[in-house]
Amino acid sequence: MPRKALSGEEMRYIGLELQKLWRSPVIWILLIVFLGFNSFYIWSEAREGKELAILNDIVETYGKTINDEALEGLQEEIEQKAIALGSEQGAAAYLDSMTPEFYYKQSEDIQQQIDELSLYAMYADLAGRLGERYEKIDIHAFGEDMKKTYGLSGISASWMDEHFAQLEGRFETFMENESYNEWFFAGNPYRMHSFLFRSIMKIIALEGILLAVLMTAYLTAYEREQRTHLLVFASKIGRGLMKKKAWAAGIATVWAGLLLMAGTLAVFFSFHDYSGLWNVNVGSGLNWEYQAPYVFWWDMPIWQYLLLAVVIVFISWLIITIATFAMAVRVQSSYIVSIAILLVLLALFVVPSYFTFSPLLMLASHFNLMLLVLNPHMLFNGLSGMTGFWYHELLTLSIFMLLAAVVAIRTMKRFKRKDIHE
Amino acid sequence: MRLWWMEIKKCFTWPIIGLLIVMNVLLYSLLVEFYLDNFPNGRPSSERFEIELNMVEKYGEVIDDGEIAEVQREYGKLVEKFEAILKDHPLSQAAGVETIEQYREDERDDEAFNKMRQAFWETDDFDLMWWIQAYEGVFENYRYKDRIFHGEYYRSAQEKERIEELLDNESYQYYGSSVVENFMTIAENVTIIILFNLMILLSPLFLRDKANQMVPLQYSSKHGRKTFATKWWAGLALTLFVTTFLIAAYGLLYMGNGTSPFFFMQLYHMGYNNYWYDITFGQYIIFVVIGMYLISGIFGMLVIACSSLSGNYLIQMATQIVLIGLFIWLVILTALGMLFQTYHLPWVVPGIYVGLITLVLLLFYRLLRRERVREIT
Repeated sequence: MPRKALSGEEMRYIGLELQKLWRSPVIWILLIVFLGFNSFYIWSEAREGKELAILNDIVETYGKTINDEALEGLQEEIEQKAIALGSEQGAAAYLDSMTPEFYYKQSEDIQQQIDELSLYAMYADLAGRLGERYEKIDIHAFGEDMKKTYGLSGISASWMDEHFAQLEGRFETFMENESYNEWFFAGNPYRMHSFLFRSIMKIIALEGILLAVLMTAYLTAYEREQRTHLLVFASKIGRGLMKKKAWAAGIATVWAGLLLMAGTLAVFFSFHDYSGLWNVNVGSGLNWEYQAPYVFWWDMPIWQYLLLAVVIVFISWLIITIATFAMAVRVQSSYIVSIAILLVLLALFVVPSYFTFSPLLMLASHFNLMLLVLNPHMLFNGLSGMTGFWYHELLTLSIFMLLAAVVAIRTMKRFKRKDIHE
Repeated sequence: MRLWWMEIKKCFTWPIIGLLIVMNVLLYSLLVEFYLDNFPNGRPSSERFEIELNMVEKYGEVIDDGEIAEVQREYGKLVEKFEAILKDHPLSQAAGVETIEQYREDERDDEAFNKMRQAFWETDDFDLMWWIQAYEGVFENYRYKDRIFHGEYYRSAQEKERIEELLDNESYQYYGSSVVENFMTIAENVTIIILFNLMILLSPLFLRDKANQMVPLQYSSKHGRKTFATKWWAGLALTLFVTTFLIAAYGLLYMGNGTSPFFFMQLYHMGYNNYWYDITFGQYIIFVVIGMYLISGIFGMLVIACSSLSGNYLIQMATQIVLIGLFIWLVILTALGMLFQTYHLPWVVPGIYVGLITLVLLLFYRLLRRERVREIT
């Protein structure tokens, strides 16, 4: 019989399976708890809105690119602000001569103006020195350092060498195009990239994993645990119901993930105004947070990075859903399966640290789903240690998707001819 | 009694035992291993710890000016030794560096100087430098021993009073804080591991029978509704067993850190946290262990209560996720991590314990009542 797209009848099964989740308040409560926690976290860590807004003003006035014109204009604006504050020697001298005694004597309004002026000056200063800062970056030295710290030799060392040669090429074009010359919230002190991706996106990803595992294990082991499996497997749809359950679990994961992701990001962006910044290059030089800058493999606007991170997190969730499904078909106990899968994920995170004896094994173990999920701020970043390869994300997702799919298909085949018993 | 023993044995099914072993290995290497293997963590902390161990043996917990002068002489010897190397070494001769002050000058734009620093950094000669730095940390601590408490801001009037009392009694800090901090981190993380163990082990206690639709059968058996109490006692025994076993195991591992000479030292001598009471580190450890037992006991009872209340494993696991999150970020952090600290008013932490224990007792009173009159369905 030729395969068709899902017919109405089959869709109905999926819908009915989904209702088992829809109708359990516990999923909703867990979602609300997660969203509440995320909102609280964002609220407690939120950066000062007024301070951030200064960058939005700058972008509005001068456009997203940092060029001589913008810098001159900004400098002029700063001088004017200084004059408005009654300074005669110019803005730089005015800020230099600022003392706490003087500052606290001023009225609140004036204090605010001084704060604003110093922030403007900070941005002008940072933006003016970007080229100079990037000139000092020596990609090759990073590679040598890496090899030394991890004691790489032989194949792993040449693997690293090739990676850093590629990265050097990428960095050259990056420098030629001066792609770093775009406005963004100052990486130091605000660290907005880390806040959004390292903190928020990671939390979302972990919460989503918990939901995906719980829901999938629950659905898949449902018949056995409710003791309806003898009845169901003898019915017309029979063991084919499992396939419907897999679909339902996937849909449920995406659905819960969407609610979680959309809700949390909405709260985040309501606290932090990104309007006007969506097209800024995520590799902007102002987005330099720690010792090393982010050197992304290609220039992408922030919306694209966010989208890619979201897509990668969703694909990871689906991979975990498939793996959970496969195991639950075999083990048929939602409790054991949930814990086992979560432990496997934990092991993926912990085990690479055991491989210090073999650089090659260590390198291979960095193509790791959990490292991807737990470091959404390091995606496509060439300078992210052993996860910096340009194909790292693609290869990791492909490997794990393939593994999960093969295991799931084999399990289903086995399940089709398995003995059914009480 | 026999049923009680059966219930205990029932909790250890093979899959659960397997999962527990894997989980404990993973959590050990994630949460505890680092603090056992790397104590004292890094340099010059390890040198500092060794110096302080010597000081405890020689001078006891209180150090006076004469004793610190003696330590300073040891330090002087090291400085001389280092300067002798500087005078001897071709690289430092080339850079014209003879004294330790010259060696320490920040960023000189001088190639010979930088080359020497690099070379020293990479050779064993730098070991001396770590020792020198460690000694200086000790002196620094001694110099500011009475200024540690001086803050412009006190969290409460009681805290101010307590700190003034400490100052009046000359209860100064002479030793570094790494010993207490290391112990507290291990204690907190071990408690987290205990909670995860209890969660996995105890969740099926009531749920398994419920999922297998055994409850009506049990009600009509001779033991009848007493099964609930039997199971509860079994759960309590398991909680105590798991807690004792893990605390003993990790306690033995912790002894390897070699901090026992500090056990008889007053807490205020070793760290900048202030405590409400004058207790020694050893006594504090005992109180922390009691706290670990209480927290584990309360958590175990809550897991059992959830197990008897939730209808299926989905509900049970979702509740456990929230519960363990609350325990890790609220209960362990305040009630264990800040035990007796002046960070909170003295009644806050005991209040948390009393409140939680009351909650558990009330919960079980209600559950037992409910069990007695429950409809058989």
